Amino acid sequence: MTTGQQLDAGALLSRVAARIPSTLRPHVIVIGSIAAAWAFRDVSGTYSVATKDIDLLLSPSVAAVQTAESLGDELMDEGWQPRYPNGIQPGNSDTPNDDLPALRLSPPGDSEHWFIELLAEPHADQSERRHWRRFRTRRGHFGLPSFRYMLIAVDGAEVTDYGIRVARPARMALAHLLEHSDPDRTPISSLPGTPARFIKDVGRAISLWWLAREQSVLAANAWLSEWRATLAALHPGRSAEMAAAAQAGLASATDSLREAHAIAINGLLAPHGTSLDAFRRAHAGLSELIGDL
Amino acid sequence: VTSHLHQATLHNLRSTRDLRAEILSLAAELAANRSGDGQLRVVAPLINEQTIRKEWEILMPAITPTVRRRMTLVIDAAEAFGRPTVQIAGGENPPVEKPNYRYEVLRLLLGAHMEGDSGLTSNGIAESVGGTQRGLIEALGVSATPVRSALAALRDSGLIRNMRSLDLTPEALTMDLLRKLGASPQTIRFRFERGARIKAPAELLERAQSLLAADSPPNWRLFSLSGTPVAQLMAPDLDLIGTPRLDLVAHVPRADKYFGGGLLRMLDDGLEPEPNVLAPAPVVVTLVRAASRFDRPPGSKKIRSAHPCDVFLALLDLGLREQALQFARAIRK
Repeated sequence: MTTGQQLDAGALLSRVAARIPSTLRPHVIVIGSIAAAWAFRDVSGTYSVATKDIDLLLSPSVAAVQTAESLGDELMDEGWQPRYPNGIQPGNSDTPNDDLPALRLSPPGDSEHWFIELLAEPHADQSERRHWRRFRTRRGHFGLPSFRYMLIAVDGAEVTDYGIRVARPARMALAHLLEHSDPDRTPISSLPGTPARFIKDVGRAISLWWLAREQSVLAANAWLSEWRATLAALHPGRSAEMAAAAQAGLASATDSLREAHAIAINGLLAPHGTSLDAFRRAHAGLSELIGDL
Repeated sequence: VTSHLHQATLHNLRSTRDLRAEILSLAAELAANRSGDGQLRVVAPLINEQTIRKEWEILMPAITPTVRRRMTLVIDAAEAFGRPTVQIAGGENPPVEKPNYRYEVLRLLLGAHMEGDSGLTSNGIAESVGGTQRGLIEALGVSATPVRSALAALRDSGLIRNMRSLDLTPEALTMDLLRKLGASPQTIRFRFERGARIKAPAELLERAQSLLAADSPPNWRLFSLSGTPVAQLMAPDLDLIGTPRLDLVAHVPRADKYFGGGLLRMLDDGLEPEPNVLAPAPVVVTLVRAASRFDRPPGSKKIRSAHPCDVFLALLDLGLREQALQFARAIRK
């Protein structure tokens, strides 16, 4: 995520949904910071979020490539413009999958400096951290990334009046923690100090938990219920193992909380000015919560 | 109040051997320092709480009485639901003074008077105390000495006629008198720490209601709602608008030396103890140390509410004496 202007989550959801053909809307799930801003829209100051990218996960996994091709062409025909922030241009049939750019599209006119990015729901058996699938558009070939725990992130996604679904914070947090039980130390070049990926993502999970407690004093019960339901559905009989993995993911950031906080305070927590002490308490509280899983 | 707290913390305790070592280490530290108390905090232990307490009790006789009397054990862990947030900063668990029996006795006598003919008499203070010293002793769970001493002070100040005629009227009470008498309530005040989002008392009240409902977290069951919201609910014609602050009553065992300030973090993560007694505080917790509780348990749609005598005293503390007296009259009807 790149820090930027404050965007209104509800207005964005409405506008993005309006541009997606109605036949494709059931296959689109919003995840990431816009999903969080939407979930916490009743927490003062969080209706807007400092972000530029709107992550759209295409579901189900088996139809993701086809959905990406239809959606990509349709939006580009309407004037949406591809963005190539890393300078990687669309590929062709000779380009290896891993060298293809993700499809990022800015709305016509690009007056608001935001863009959507397409992701795919992973196959249930995906074990590698990130898997790229090729999809073809009239502008060339793009890559559709899928992350292994995204099935957890989008499980039980909220159905909105806009016709697209939005991932829930508890599940997104759990997916982040599981993802980094084996910490991804890839540096994020777009952030100051090029922090490792796990610091940002685990910090995101802590931020979601902090926001959840701001929203409700009974957040602990709600999160535990959601986690238990999702693990029972997607990883039956493996709750203890998954809880241990989530705890390991959270522990990975224990020595980097100052860095994680610095990233969060420019992102999800930007409207709140959450202190480092509060962030540390949220880290400890989240650890206790996982202990109850 | 303790002059200095020697604190040791054990996170994720796995064995009684580590526990024993830490207890002895704390005892040695206290033996070397004649002033101050010692607190061992066991946070998120991986062994059973009963085992920890048993080990503590086994070891205490081996420590000289002058040291062990100053030692307390705090376990932050056991509840499966809504455990207190692990304390990080110092001063999260403010020490509490010894019970103030003048206040406790005055409170019970006030409560008995306020119940009057209000229909609150079943299992209420009046029925339990029965206007007798013995009733007070039993309700407070203490020996006769502190009760008699407190009654003598109330008699000398003119609040009760004699040691046998134990009727105390709300009209006789002012905060100034309570202060002069040394019968002020024990309160712990909370403020928003720097950087926290300031929430209005009405918002804090809404959050508190979730924690005081029938299915409330177990470690919040020591609290009851007090102050203006309860007064307005019980006496709707009262000359009161809005919620100037959130008042809670906490039923804290007499032996406790520290208040679990972390419990207030459950209400709002930004709340911390306010050391300045003169500063306005958004949340005020009044400690009640009596053995018997007379608050009203939550019903199907109701929340746990303090006894009217606590509500009366909270209104007095808020500087709303006229409304407090109106409330007392309304309750007795």
